[in-house]
Amino acid sequence: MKELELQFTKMVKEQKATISTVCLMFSDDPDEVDELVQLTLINLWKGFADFNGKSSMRTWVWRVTMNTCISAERKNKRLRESTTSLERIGVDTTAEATNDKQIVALHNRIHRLGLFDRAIVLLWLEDMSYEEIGDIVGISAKNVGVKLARIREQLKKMRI
Amino acid sequence: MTTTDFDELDGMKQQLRELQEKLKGRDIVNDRMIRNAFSSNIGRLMRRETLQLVMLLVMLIVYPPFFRTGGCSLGLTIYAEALFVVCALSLVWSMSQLEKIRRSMGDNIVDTNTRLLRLKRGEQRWLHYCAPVFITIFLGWFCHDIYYLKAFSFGELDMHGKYTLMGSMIVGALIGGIIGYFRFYRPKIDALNEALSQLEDLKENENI
Repeated sequence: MKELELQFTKMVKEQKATISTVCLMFSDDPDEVDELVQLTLINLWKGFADFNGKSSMRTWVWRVTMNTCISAERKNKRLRESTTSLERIGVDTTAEATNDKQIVALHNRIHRLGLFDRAIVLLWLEDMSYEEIGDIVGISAKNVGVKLARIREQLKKMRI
Repeated sequence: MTTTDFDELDGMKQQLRELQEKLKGRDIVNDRMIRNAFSSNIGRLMRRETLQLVMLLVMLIVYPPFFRTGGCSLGLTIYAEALFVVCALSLVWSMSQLEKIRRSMGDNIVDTNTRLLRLKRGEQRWLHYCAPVFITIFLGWFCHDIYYLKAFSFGELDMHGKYTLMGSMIVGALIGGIIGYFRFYRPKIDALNEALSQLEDLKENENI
């Protein structure tokens, strides 16, 4: 058991950027982000012993994290552009600093997408192939292409 | 897609990398959370359902003697017990399904969320249709028993009191039902249906 706990801790530390990114993109409230991270870790731990290695560990972590966030985050606050969760990680949400300003813009645009569109675009931004995205989401690679084209249209409209 | 779109999306990739760099130096996923994950067997939903199950089991044991000594009929006592058993079984079933879903969080997003949403929708329907029907029958029967008991005790049947209480109960149930339906049930079901339709939409191009 201790060995499994050590392996799990190592895996979480390796994948913590993925877990944090997804949770941040699914909530704008720092307390909710903590709750999402905690729920994700519980779900990862529950499935860790049964992880069969059919997919890569990275893909599996993405799946569990996104499933947890999507199933927990149904309060639909898409239209409220709050960025308090970003402030906690040191992003200056009011400054003119270009990098921070762009991160805020990225957060707001992704946060305004539907839950499943958010998942698809995050996977795409992570440089995953259409096949990998399709495998995680549960749709075909061709369908991923169609969805991404629609998401791009939505993102363009947000810019206007 | 135009070159501008490519530039913009590449820009988003760059922004995500910058965000991840910032996250690497932060303590969002910390050791305390990892330790909590080891010790946590159930989530908030499971805890709530476990508490409900314990309360039902207590009622299952406490209520029969309480009902019978209070003068309620054997029929009502059996009905109430059956009601508790049905509720307990549905809770156990719901908990087992939830546990199955939690264990299969590593499956794809569409399948996992479809299962979870259907479970939640089923739970809402049970809570808003079946449970009130069972409870209304129970309360009606309860009023009937109480007033007949009173009639036997005092030698006269207080029909006026009986119908007043029954009438109030019906009006109260109607008002509660209408508020519950529009204030709680409909928004929840609409949100669940919308999420399910988003999942359908995700899959709609599969057969084209």
